[in-house]
Amino acid sequence: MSKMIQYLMENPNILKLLKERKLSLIGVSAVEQQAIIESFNEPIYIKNNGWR
Amino acid sequence: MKAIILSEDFDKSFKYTVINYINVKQDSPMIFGHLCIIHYQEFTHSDCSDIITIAAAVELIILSADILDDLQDNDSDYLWCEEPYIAMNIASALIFLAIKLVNGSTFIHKQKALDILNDFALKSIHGQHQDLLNNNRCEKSYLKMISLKSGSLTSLSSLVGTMLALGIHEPRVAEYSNDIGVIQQINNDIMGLKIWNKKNDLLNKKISLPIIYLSENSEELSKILKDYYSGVTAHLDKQVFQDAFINSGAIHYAYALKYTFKYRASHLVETMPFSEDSQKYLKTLME
Repeated sequence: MSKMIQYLMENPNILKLLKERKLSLIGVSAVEQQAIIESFNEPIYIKNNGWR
Repeated sequence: MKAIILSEDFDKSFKYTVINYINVKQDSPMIFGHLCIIHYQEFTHSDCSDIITIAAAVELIILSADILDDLQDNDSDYLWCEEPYIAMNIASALIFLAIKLVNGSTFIHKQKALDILNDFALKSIHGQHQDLLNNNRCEKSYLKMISLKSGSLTSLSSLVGTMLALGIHEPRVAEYSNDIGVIQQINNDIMGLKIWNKKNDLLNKKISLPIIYLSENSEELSKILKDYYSGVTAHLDKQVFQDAFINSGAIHYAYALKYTFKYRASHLVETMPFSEDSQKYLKTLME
């Protein structure tokens, strides 16, 4: 999971396609893929207040 | 819970101290007690009020665990940290009081419920031991540890209610309840890095998922962390690490793992013959 997250952080274009359901990740289950997408869907950082 | 303490044959000082400890948590949502009650009620469709006493017993176990955890963390924010020797004594009393309450009830399956309480409390203590050793530095072992430490307590709560109702073990309840405990621990871990103060997990050299992520995915930060954790260096650059947690994907990683547990647990809850309200409540615990 951590390597997959790192890869997506380094390749935002792939992340964009993933969110648009235009591709699937290899080596992760459907549940894990959905979990990864959801983790990137929500805003993590709130200005001046750290993350949620 | 207070009524139970007041009814026991303790001197005033003892009762006063325990009640003060209970008051510290009076605004908490008492999730563990609710898990016990909900599962009993859903499996029996009964409003038997005796389950409230058992729920109180469960919350006494949790309070005991909270006290011991704070003493172990040297967390000085709480009342019980002012006199640790008193607190340790009270914490042990709470465990036996909880056992006494279950044993003294009229539930047919109380012995089986006590077996569950013992087994899962021991699992949690085992997990706490692993946490204290602070050696779980990879995802797999870390998740196993928090499953034992935190997942066991939520499982205990749900399974005591289930066992009193059914007299048999329900593996789905154990599984999604464990997942709820893991989810809440991951939430705690993320919050434990948010504020850069004396309680910050990184500054206190604790291990958690975002820290594991940084160690595994950044050679530079891994070296800095290794030196800090081993005492070679004494300080960490706050801005570097706060930026790293967000920009490297460390927080995303923790959330992604959390959501895998959430989806699994949510699916299991949906297979249970529970009311919509109960299912909804259980799912709120997965947020």
